[in-house]
Amino acid sequence: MARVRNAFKIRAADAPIMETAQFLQLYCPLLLGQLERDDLFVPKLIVVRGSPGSGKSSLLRLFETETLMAIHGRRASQPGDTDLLQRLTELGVLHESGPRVVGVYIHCDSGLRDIGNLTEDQAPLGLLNTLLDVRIALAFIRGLRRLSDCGYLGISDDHALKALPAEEAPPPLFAEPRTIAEMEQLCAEAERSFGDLLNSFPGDPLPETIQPHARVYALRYLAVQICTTAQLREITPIVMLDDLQDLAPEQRTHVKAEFVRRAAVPRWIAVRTHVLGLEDLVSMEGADEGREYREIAVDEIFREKPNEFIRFSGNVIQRRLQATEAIQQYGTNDLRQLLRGPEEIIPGPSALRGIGTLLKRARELRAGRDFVEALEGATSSQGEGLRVDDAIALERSMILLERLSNRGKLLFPGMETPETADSKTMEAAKLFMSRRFRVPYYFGLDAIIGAASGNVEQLLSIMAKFVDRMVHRADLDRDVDLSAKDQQKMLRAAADDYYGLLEAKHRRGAAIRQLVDNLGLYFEAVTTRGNAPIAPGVNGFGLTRPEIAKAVEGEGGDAQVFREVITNAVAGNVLAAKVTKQGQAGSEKVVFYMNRLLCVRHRLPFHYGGWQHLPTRTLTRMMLEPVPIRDLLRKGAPSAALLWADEG
Amino acid sequence: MVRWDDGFIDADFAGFWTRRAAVNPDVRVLAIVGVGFDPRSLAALRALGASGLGERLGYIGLRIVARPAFGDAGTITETLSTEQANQISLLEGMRCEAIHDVRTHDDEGYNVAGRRTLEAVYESRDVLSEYSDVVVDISGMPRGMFFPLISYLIRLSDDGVFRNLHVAVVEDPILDSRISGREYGQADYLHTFRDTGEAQVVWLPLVGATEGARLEKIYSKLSGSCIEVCPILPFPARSMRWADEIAVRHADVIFEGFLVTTDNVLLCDERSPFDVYRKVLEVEKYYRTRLGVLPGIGAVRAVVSPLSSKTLALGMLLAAVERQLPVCHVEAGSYEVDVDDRGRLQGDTKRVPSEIWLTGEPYES
Repeated sequence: MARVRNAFKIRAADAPIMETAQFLQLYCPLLLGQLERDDLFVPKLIVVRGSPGSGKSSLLRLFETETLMAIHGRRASQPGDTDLLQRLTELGVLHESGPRVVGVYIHCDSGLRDIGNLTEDQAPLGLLNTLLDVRIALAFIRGLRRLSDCGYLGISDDHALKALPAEEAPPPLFAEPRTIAEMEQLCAEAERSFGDLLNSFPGDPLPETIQPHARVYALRYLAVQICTTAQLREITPIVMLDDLQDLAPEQRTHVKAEFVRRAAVPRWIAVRTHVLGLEDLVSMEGADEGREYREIAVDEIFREKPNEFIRFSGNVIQRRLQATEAIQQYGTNDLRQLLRGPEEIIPGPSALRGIGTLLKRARELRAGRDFVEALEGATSSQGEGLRVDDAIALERSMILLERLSNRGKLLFPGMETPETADSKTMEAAKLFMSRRFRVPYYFGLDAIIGAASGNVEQLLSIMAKFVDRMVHRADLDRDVDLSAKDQQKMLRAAADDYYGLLEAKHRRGAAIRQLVDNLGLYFEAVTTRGNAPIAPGVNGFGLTRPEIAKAVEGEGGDAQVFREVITNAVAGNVLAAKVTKQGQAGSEKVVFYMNRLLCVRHRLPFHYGGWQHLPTRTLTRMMLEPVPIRDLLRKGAPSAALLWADEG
Repeated sequence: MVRWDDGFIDADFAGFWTRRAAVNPDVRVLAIVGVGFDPRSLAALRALGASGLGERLGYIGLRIVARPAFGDAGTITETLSTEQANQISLLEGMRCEAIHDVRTHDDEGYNVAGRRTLEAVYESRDVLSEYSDVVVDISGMPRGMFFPLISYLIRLSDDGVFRNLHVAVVEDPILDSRISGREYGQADYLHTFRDTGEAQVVWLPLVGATEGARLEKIYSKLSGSCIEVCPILPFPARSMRWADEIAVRHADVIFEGFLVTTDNVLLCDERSPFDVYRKVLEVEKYYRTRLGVLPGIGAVRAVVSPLSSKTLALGMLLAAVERQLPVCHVEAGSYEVDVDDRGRLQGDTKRVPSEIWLTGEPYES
């Protein structure tokens, strides 16, 4: 396979821009594990939900006929495709004699949405049916031809496609038997006519070749061909609609109704993540999950099982490294070694400064003599520097002291019994140490994967930066390994890039950016409280469902601001919504976690679970203007200024 | 022979109309203006009002109803838009034929400006035939509005609904630098310039100084079928180094991201729409006829993107109309404007509209 300078800059979903072979080289088959054989052969609706870049489109494009043919053609020659081949064979998609699936991929582009802008007398929903029928039939026919051209199917252009039975009142397109060639020509003409219609001026007549269809007939039409044509008995068409969210609301409702209707053809819909309680892009209410449809929530798979995303990421990275010219010899495991950890010893001056601030605080708290002496001892021996582990231990002790002090238990210095530190406190100590002693916190492959927020596209854009640097070093004949300091710098640069594009990239981007600014500062202030109350830190806010419902009541004003900003932030993966029962008994909350790259920007930990409740009124204010931290912190809470006054 | 090979342009809009009003007593002029926050929106109408047309001047106002940004930025643009709308109602000595509200976005934030603009003008179509000349001031209109509008009016003029179609535009780099678009949506084809074929794409983007993000969005949409990119830079321009500065600023995106070679860069005179018009047509013909016949390539079509000044964008529009080229663009979802202490959005007060004559008398042999 041809290698490129930096394969991490290629997006798998943009399959047409690269050769199919390259797409396959880069495609990671892990998401295929979510599919079951029944999804293909017991026809029902599959709804794939995920944030932009989560891998939905790539999954769908994998089932396009051309891609399946390429995979099949590489059976013998490409051992690297073994996982993919095996899984597709298990699913019954590939057989020794060739592909058994004709993937009909339809992108819900702006053309489909624009049909909704036609006037009522032009029957926009009827025309939407027509265009879907035309595209589905055309893609199916072309898929058959491809299979036939390569000898996987014995069917010619003269083959007569059956008409739909008259009692079903089909539209003229499907009312007569037609040869494959005729049908293709008719559909291609109709598609062109739709182009003319959408480019027409007001008052122009509807092109004669277009007639509104009462419903989507193509699914039934495909089923009839499969059932009545001997050569097609082994073939399963899958009709896949991508980016359904880009249709207008009434079109979405209509398409969902058409697709949930029982048909002998599997139907897949890919739609972006929606915000619980705020919007319903495709409401499946009324449909029977399991029997009529099945939902695959791509984001949740990774969020619920972080190890799955780590495995998935490792696979993606491995494939891309192999496709990157200058560093093709490295695999994921090599990369772990190349991404070096921080030095084990903190240099003298940094250590001295850090310990100085600890000592000052310990004296303020009237800490026990042992601890103060330990700090003083560490100060006097700083010629050789301080071990990182020792620094973490000092931070841990300081956190425990702060906690005791908060509870008023330091009245008798030296008499207190220190608490034991759990793993979360240790993680907080590590975070505090990295800030106080200026030791890199974000480094290593796990940090890169963590910063990706469970999103493939984000993983690729972060990795692209690292690989650019490594390729550059390889070009100069230098070692390609990267110091922890460099890694942290690159992650922060990736975070700054991500932040810098918030306004331009997202609808309501300015308000999203404002919210992120306020949240970042607030989370930072709560996380860096000396006693680490919500260890290791806070990077999300939670709301109850009634609170959300109340906040979005009514039109305009604050309700509109709240609804649009949260909706667009979740849609764009800036916030990730997750339902949790954490907190008081019985109080289910929707927690909105900040994108992990933004956590890097605000030096927050990556874990999920640390969140704070914020009133919706405050959140709305945070979307509109800078909100002083003192207005956000609870009365009586320790000052946010805390320990990091000397931070650069 | 191409349609606007010998295009008509006059940098002195006011002088042109004063002379035309005096020499041709039968001239009746209908101005179509987009009224938003941009203070240039009414410049041409004011100049026409002072040209001596008197009762022979009418106008259709297209009040641009945009989704304001939340917060201060939205309040500022809304205030400016209201002021402009009030100003037009204060203009005297001309007939107000209609004022239409044109929503630029639907409830979900998708751009519908082009379709709504045409619907508004279609509502007033009977008025058009009462005038000999229609002048569209594109200074305050987004591309999503004036591309379909002018395309539609060229068709009406060709059909004889009215005789002469003119465009007025005020180029003011200072003012432009105080207006910044944000909250960009997805790249999409402008209304009536949708791509209807399945050919390979040669992309011709006009490249402005601050358009990196938009270039990437459009490229991402087209990349599936894009086989060549030919960026267009302004030269000669206000400064002889301007083209270099733009190229350097976007070098990462254009030369490394899109892998464009310097041979593919086109230079077009910034002051005239007809230079870019001619060059786009030449390049389009070259690729269609030379590249399209190569084995394995198949049909080739040019897609244009007007990411630069309005004058150059107009040239691109004319090429798109003549060859039915798709126009791919990214409209801003909202704007942030930099106002002075008194809340005014001010540019270079010396800038005046230019006159560009598109159909009618000069082209009738």
